[in-house]
Amino acid sequence: MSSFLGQGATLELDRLEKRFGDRVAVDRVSLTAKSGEFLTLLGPSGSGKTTTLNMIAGFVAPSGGRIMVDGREIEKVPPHRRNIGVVFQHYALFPHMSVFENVAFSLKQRRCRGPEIRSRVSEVLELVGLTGYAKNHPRQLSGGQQQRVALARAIVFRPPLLLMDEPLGALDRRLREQLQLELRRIHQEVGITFVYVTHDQEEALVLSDRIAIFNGGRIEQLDTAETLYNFPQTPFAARFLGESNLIPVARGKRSGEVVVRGLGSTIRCPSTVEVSSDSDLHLLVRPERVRLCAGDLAPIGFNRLQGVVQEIVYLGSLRRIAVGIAPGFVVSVREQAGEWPALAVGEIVHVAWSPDDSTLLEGV
Amino acid sequence: MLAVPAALFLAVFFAYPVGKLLALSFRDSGEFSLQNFRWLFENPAYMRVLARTFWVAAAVTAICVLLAYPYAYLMTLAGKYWRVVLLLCVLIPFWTSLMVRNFAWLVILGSNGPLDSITGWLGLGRPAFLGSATGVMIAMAQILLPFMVLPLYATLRGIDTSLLAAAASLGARPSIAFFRVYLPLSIPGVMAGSLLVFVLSLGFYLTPAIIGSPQNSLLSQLMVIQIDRLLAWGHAGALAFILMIITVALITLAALVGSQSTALKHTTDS
Amino acid sequence: MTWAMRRGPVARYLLPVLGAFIAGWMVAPTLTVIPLSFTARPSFVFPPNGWSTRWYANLIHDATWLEALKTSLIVAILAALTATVLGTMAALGMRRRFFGQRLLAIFLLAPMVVPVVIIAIGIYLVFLPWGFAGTLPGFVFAHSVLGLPFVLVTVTAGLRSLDPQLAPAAASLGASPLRAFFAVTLPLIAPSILIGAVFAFMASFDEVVVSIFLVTPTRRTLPVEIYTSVTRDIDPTVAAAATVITIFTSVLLTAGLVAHARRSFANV
Repeated sequence: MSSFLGQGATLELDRLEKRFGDRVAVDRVSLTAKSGEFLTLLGPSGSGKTTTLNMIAGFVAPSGGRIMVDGREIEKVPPHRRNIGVVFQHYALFPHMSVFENVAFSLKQRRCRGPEIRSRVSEVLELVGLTGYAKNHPRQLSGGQQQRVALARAIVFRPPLLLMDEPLGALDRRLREQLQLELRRIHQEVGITFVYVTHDQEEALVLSDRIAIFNGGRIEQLDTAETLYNFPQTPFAARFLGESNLIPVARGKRSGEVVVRGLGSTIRCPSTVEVSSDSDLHLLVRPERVRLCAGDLAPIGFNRLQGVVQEIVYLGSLRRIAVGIAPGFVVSVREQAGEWPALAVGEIVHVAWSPDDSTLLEGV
Repeated sequence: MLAVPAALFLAVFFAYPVGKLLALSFRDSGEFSLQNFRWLFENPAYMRVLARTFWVAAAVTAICVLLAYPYAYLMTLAGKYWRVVLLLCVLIPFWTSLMVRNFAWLVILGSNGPLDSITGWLGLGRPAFLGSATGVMIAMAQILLPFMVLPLYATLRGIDTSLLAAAASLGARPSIAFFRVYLPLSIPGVMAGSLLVFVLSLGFYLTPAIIGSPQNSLLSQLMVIQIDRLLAWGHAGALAFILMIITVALITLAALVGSQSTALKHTTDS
Repeated sequence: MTWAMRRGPVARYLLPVLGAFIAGWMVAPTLTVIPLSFTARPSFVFPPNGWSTRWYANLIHDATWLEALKTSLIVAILAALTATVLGTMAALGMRRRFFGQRLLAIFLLAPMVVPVVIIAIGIYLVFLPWGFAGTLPGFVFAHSVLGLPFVLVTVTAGLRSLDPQLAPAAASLGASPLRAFFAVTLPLIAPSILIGAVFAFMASFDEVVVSIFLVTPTRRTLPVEIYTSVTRDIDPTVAAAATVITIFTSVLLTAGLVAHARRSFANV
């Protein structure tokens, strides 16, 4: 597979925009994908990620902005000349052609010769694990197999950039997880730049080098998975990636202090100096950073609140415990099952966390 | 754009001919005039033809409804195999030559024909079907029946049978459930099929021409006679105009009613 | 289904009997033609009281009938071709939404709605000064008008059933719109085009009313020949011709139906 390596293109979107009448589907989106990177566009339906992908592929014309592949502007280039591979959610395999013909299609358009076509098709079928299926037709294959054919078809002509629009969305969970790992492997072997669209945050975490979180046509944050998880910049990003406790707060009297809105209690947090206003201020604490403790036994410096156990959900090796602090204010705690064996609903407990494990977020 | 050749073709060979014919109904000796319409409306014989055309169409429609309803209902009850058989029985005559079917009716309705023998055997005497409006109605009803069965079946099979089960659970006898629940729900299909059959009957030529007689002419025969013998384009145009107006009005009505009921079923269209 | 089965004897016995009767009533008339074509005497008495095949011999040897058959076939083939080309192009051209699309669709389908008599007289009116009456092109053009809506309907349906992502997929793989059409779209709608062509052929081969006006003593079509024979005298050769037509069209349509049934009759 060394013939593939090192050909990943850089992709740059500069204030890319798409308007449908009054509705702004993509609102001046800018990002850069590095050569050979696996970048995921993550977001709920209607957040603009698929429209962005379609503009990169050339299926939708942008209302404004630029798209650059390896520095070359391509907005005016028709899709059949962009040399970008695309994998669709429902495979879009040509039903009247065999697997071989499907995969060879792009090579035929590029006027490759018979022997070269045969060798490259078998090479890529081996890469996706479908050797021997060349003569089958799509309707004879399972969903997972069809998706592999779609992938093979999209990379056989060695495009520097591969776009994938929720390609695993139509598959069941087990198959999805299996193919996710295969995709990672193929990406590492092939070395081209992958841009992947999904609404499944776990999938994004498994596959990506970096993730761009889309919301309402804009990118909320673009970072590595680790950064996104530990240092989200908006409540939306915090909520979308992983579980979160978002405590509505207002600035306290001193820097480093905030007041829980509606409750009045003061808790400590990282410096509040950069916060511009009081409106829509939240404190983020991840549930696994919150611990249960008894009465006064919280470590020094930890924030501590008293509440009543409302719900215990058993998740195998973990437990998720909902603790009601005040009406409408519930803190979710994730803890290793077994730490508090006698815990029951209705018990009075204390939740505690370190201020360093929390983040102040502005916005909705 | 690709649809242009077809549009042009129809404009030349369809829109222009029909348009010219209709336009000629307003001309007499080269000038604008309503003489042709006066010719039509002031002649009681011609008005009888119009009236006859209408009530024949109405009778054919009624016969079709009476026959198609149980047939379509049976189709919804039938198992998969029988349903296909019933459907084929509807579709096959649909596709075989219209001319052949009319010829067959000519044979069946003729004196000494099988129908005559049957009615004689039943003691109903030997009425002359050929040349009578009754004969025309029978033949037309058979030929147009598929146009009633198909829309009706489409509607009937969409009726949720659990509604009837619900009615039964609320204490309704099967006949009550049928009349108060099933029948009203089937009305759109009945309307669609009836409009279709009625419109087709109004303009039908072949069957009245072969089975009927000049004494029992329908609108289309009158039109053809104007041309065949007299080349009276204006007269034919006036008749065509009347027929067109009624056809367009009824089809528009059907489309409006149809779109209202489908609008109730669908939510968004992407 | 179970609810219906609980209904009384009306549904269980009367309905199927009535249904069988109606089904027979729909199919039987066409079938009477076949035995009639073997009658021994020149009469339309049914059932015939003698058997002979002389009417078929008559049919084969009679120049009038053969000429009419030949004309009908040639016209039908050419009209089907014309209607198919125009109708397919129209269906392809109307794939995307555009201003006035609905109106155009209604216009292109109008020949199915306007009563045939009106179309017949109108065409005759216009063909006389143009000198098209009685000519081969005249028949072809007139019949194409009637066949075009059929092709439009079937090809449009075929296009709608296509996966809309196939075209973008082909483009992403490097196929220009033209190459994509020939390599992907056309092979997939070929069955619909074929069925439309068959319907257009049938519409022309069976066409009577328009043809009545356009025929001349030297150029006649088969259905018109049957029509004039039926209204003129009692010649069972007509029955033989009718039988031939029936069998021919039944075979043609059954073939088309079988090909189509494999796709869509699963949800009857």
